[in-house]
Amino acid sequence: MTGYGMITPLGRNADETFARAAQGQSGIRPITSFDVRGLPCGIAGQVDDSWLDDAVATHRNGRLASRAVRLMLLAATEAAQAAALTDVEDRNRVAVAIGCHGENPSIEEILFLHRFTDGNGRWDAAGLAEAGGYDVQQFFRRKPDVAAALVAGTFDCRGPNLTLVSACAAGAQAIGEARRLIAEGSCDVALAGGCEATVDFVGLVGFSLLRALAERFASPATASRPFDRRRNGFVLAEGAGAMVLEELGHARVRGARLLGEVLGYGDSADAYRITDSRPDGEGAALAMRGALDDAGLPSAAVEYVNAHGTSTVQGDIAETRAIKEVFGTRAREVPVSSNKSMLGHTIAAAGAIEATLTLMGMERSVILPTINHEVPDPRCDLDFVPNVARRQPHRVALSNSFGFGGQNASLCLGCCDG
Amino acid sequence: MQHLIGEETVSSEIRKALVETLRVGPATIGPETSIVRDLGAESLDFLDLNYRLEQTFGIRMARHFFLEHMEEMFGEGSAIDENGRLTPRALAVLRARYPEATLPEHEDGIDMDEVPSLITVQAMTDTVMSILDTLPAGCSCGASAWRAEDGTHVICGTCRQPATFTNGDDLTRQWLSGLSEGSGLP
Amino acid sequence: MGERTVITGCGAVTSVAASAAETWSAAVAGATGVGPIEGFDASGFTCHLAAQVLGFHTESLGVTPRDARIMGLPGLMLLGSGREAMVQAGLRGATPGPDEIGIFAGMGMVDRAPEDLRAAVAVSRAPTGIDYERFFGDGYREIYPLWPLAMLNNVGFCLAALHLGVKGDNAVFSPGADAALLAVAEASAAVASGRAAAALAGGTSERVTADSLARAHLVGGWGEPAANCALGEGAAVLVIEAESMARARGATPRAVVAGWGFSHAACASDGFVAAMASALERAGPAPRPADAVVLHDERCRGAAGAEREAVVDVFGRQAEPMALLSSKEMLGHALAGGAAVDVVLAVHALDGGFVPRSLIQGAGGPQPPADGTPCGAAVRPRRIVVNAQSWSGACGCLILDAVE
Repeated sequence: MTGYGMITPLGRNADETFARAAQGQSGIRPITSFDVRGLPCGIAGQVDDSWLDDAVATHRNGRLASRAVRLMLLAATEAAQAAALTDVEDRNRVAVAIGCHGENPSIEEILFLHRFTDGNGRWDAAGLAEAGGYDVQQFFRRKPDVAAALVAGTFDCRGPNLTLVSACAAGAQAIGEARRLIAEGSCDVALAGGCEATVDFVGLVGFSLLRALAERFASPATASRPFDRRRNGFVLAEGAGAMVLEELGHARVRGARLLGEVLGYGDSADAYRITDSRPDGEGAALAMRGALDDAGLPSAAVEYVNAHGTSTVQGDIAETRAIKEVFGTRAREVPVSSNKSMLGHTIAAAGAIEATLTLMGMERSVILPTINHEVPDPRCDLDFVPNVARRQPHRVALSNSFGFGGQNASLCLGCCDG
Repeated sequence: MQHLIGEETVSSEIRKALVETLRVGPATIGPETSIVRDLGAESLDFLDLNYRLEQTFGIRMARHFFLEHMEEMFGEGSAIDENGRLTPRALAVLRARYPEATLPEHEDGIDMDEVPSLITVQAMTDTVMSILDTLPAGCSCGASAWRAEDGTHVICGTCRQPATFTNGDDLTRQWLSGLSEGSGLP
Repeated sequence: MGERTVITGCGAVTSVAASAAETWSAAVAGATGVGPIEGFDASGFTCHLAAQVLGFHTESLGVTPRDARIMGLPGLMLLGSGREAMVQAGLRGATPGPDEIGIFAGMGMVDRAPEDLRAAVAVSRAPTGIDYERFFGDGYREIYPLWPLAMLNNVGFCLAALHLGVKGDNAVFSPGADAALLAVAEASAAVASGRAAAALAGGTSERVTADSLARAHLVGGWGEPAANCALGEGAAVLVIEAESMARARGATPRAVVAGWGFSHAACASDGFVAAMASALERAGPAPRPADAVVLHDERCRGAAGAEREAVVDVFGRQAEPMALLSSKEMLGHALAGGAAVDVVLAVHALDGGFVPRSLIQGAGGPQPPADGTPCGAAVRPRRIVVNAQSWSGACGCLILDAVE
């Protein structure tokens, strides 16, 4: 990794997010951008709107870009600048891999279409066309590959261009796929990351209907409580994370700073149920072991696990079991923490943001905490770095992202000696 | 007690919903069939099932299980202990709620994850019937002329407004309050 | 880079047939799946034609109504294609096990189904249209609770993986035609490096709805309605394995995945040139340069000329005898499904030893005889290039070689 960047509910850039996270701050607040009165959950992790103005000001595409894409452009800009990406000469050898599934249409937009259908497959397309048809803005907002296309255009990346839509695992998959593209020689450099901006009524309604969100909490900041006994669902959030990955020789030749390394990537499909993950955590364990195999490392080498840790009742148990399976008797000695306790669940951006925070932590010898850890759950009985960050040098870590639908991704990350 | 919609209708609609959602043969469904254990339903299926019943009868099923309501009403740890097992109080409530059920025998107590398997077709029928029984005496328009349209939707014969029943969560809480006050549970 | 990877099974569901083999026969017979749009009134759109998959019988797939509703036609087609491919490759036994089989696919966008929202809309109706107070208050609770799952792009893919019993390495790419070629490339890399013992790779289209039609119109500005602007529905899946593993298992390789390349450029021609050049470099030399190119043949954006220029650019004079093929007239523009079907057609051409006349696009190569017999460069193709492009300008190129 030769550059990184992010914009999250905790900070407008990577250093800000990390600093606040190290202090155990929460980025979760009551939602004020739309009316949440009828919803069982009215909190989320949102990015300060004023930070997005930068995107409009400094990017020629900024004005056109929808919210998720602006977040992506900001994170990518920070990463590209840190990596001095413009120095790379052969732009055909610079790839882009983004985890993004597009944004939601608004309720008004969805219901507008309802005027032209009877709900039984019959459409009044003539009436629809006359009434203004399909909105161009909505078209671009919903399209998953706009972020990847605009990043490619903005940063002149002409190599392979991938959009991963694997929900909660997409960000991690983007980094994993980017690593593979470099390893197989399809490119020398890749801008990889993820973005998410679905904190809107449709997004909240969607997850509320599935009963996936936290509905009982003492305060917004304490609602996301992975591995804690009182957890009862996740908190939705938005944000973007990006990193510049580069082939080692290529980075050395151009004198790029070596900020960390993606040692390996593993992934699996649960093939169990859609929303319930395998209770024994087997799919997750498969992904973690895959990452270790890819890195050529034994589990004994891992000194920290950045958990997927969404704060759902069942998910946290399954992940605990998976970690125990992979680490065996050593499991309780490996610190495990969840950034989602502070950031909420940034879905497609999560894998990218959390992998970056993990690498930053190794750089700084700081392990970020799992906050809101007040009442331990005997079924989640590992060292979750409760509430307070820990100063501890560590060189190898795993970062987990387990998606809705059962796509599991795990990255093995390592420190660089510069 | 309302008499417009009978238990037979309710259980028939539940069977229909199960056949459609889980694609099982109707012959496999009896009153004692466990929806989780015998028919393989998962949490998503309950969302679907509840939705169908809500649409069919114009009711609102409970969003939260009675154990969660207990925890909220009687304090943390009142229903589920720190090992995820049911407390004696919760067990008593469970027996009151599912009197016909054969509870699993464990030395350590019943795990909360085992409870959904106790939900039988009969239990679900009873739940829907108890919601339907909250039919108010009269409509807000003043008339007392309820009718069952399509056999499953209760509407006012005079103004045609659909009936409003107590929602499942409120009903569960009322029932728990009643239990707690009345019968001297631990 | 690992060893040679081969294709050992094909499956497809298209507007002309419900299997790969029958789709090939239909191509040989010159059939087309393009016709007037059915299922809704499309008279308000410029193009009223599409190649829809009609009468696809999903009962045999063994999927519950709930799952079928969430997967929708695209997910179900992916499942059907995947099954066929796995059976053909003989992958239904104990080895390789589910953990060792990967799955990669290109998927399109998912459109909301109005029927899921109908109850919520009904409850919130007011004389002025929608009473949003009511809707946002509790009207939304009438929405079918599984609607959000159907809206996530990857859930259809995950359900297909679940029903196919595949648990290994996976990724889902979206939403353009190139996503299917990315899937094939990643699957090949996965088996070549040993991450997976075998991998399914393919793509599926979007459903033809007023939404997807409107999107295509926005992209293209279609002008005259004609068969060559039609959207299509369809999916295809291939089984990819390392050659040594395939042979050890007794499976018969049908084609070799020789190379791939991807590129993103503002100018379509540059994108295709870079993708093809990169793929040729990876594929290495062959006794002859490519015998045929299955063109992406973009008709929704009026960019087809750029691709042909790119072919000439890359192959120079060697492009002259090459057969230029396109499945768009037969199958419409089926996005990732279309590109995956193109790969299946290429496999059949390499395996079967000829190119169906109906796919040949005229310029390039000797004219086929009127009686439809295979001819010229179309005889015994040894190397076929398959191109694909997304509406955002991402280009992909896959090179397949015959098994010698």
